[in-house]
Amino acid sequence: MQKKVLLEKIIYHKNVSMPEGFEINPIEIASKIIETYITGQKLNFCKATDIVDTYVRENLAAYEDVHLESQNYSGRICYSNQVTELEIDKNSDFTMLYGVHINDCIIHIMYENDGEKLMWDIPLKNNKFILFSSKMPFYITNKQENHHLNMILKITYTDK
Amino acid sequence: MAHFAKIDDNNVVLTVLTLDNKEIVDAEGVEQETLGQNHLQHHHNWPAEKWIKTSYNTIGNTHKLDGTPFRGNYAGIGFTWDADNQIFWPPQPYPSWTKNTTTAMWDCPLGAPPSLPDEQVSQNIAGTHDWEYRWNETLHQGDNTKGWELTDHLA
Repeated sequence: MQKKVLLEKIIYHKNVSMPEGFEINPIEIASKIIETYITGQKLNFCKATDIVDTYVRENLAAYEDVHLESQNYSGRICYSNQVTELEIDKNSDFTMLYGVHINDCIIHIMYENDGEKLMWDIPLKNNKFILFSSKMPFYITNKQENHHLNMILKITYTDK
Repeated sequence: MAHFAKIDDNNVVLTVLTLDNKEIVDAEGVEQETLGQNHLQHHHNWPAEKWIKTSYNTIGNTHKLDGTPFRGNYAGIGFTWDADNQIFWPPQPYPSWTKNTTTAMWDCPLGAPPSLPDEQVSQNIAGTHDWEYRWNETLHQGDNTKGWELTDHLA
């Protein structure tokens, strides 16, 4: 797992490496995300989202001694050349973004150093997760030339 | 209850789950690790061979209840499974410490810390200080005859 320290605010990012034959089914997550956009309901639990959630929690505990409790699941669908609104999750400790179906997507995470506003840009890829403090606002840019969508699973966590 | 450690491709323990003993006992009443592994694969989407049975009562290759120790240590999250030696290793405390396959623990290159001098023992009893020998890896890397450092936690 890679770790980037931004003035005591840490961002974890890693490709999800599942054993052969036990891989995450992105179509299952994508269909659940689409369902939320159609019905307006919360993202429903499914086996694939549970695998992502378990993988993130277990890896953070085993490798970083960070113990997380999952809070909310949601999905994002981003269009080409779209810049999303600034997001911040004040009611959680960590925000995790997982690339479900990605063409070209950058996560822009904002932080401050002595009042100076800074930003760290990290590309999100398929089957990769990025976890960072929920106190850090972020937005997403989507630069893909084609008309494919970017689909992202978002899970918020509290620190146990 | 039976306990199984879930390990990843690096043999690092990700979690430990409990199973009812009935899940690992065959028709003859004999415990079979593979039965538990297959049960866990089915219910937890993780390959059977990456679930390793561990003994709740084993620590430092000793069984707390005077039974037979099993696989060195009860597996903890972040421990590493060593299939060759059949030991769950806790994380290495310092780079200079080495594995002891007899005790299933990490050995300090200078052995156990020395006894506290009488003066420090008295001060600890009086509660004015809290003396303890602590390992200083930087000190040891500079001079491999040194490492244990007398430290007062109240200072």
